[in-house]
Amino acid sequence: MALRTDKWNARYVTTAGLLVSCGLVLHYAESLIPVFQVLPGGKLGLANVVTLLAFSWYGAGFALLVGLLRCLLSSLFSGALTMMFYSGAGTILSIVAMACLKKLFPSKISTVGRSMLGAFFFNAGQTAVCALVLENVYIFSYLPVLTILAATCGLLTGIAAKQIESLILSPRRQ
Amino acid sequence: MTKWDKAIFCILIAGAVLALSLQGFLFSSSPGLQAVVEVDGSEYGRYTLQEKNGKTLAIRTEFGYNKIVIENGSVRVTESDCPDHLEIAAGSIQKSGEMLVCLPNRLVIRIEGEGSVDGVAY
Repeated sequence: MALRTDKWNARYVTTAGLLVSCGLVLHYAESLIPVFQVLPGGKLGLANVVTLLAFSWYGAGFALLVGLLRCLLSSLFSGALTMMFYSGAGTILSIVAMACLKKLFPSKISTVGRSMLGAFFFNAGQTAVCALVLENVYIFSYLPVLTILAATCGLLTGIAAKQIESLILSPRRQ
Repeated sequence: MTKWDKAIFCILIAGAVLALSLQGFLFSSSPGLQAVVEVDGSEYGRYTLQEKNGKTLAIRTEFGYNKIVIENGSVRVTESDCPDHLEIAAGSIQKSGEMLVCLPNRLVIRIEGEGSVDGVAY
């Protein structure tokens, strides 16, 4: 019984592993289709569906776990380790923003809204790290262009995540 | 999708469009512009944009090689040894505040001059 009430039970860990691996596959599959890489730093971000699912199933802490593991592994696999700092900062900022949104407006905003806000804050985090690396605040002039892309791509991935949510029952409720 | 979701979408798009139009307003073109070349955060050199016959610069640093052409009041990068060549694809810049970035070679080319702002925070 102790294991069932414990937060870190088998179902929790297995779900995390499955979501991370699904995210890695989606990330790789998306990188094979060059149409989705519209601008440098901007892409569809299909793999974020996984983070959104993690957020609505087990909450912000679980989403942070899945998101950061995904960042670490995907940057290790692609061989560009510096990418980890950009996407890591974006992931932390976007999940914090999504958690704040949920706290401020409970039950008013769906996965789609969370996805769009998350996408924006991901780009904001990325841009901030880029400005720090280059020691140049002018990089932020690129953020509005990225924001338009983030709103559109966040909308699409949010709708995809919502569809998946209605198809797959949360492992918590099963 | 609730109406709150739609509100988030509208706010994001409106904010971005507003910021872009403000940029176009602030970074208007003016005479006496300079191209500032920065490598790894420190200044490499300043060049005036009004070159009649065009000027070619080869920037070779520990981070990589880029070739920059300044002519007719605009700057562009024509050669680079970086893998993605994004700064070549970005084309030429001519207005104050505009910039070209080559992240692998840590190169930033920025246009500065009268009427430019020191920094814009969004």
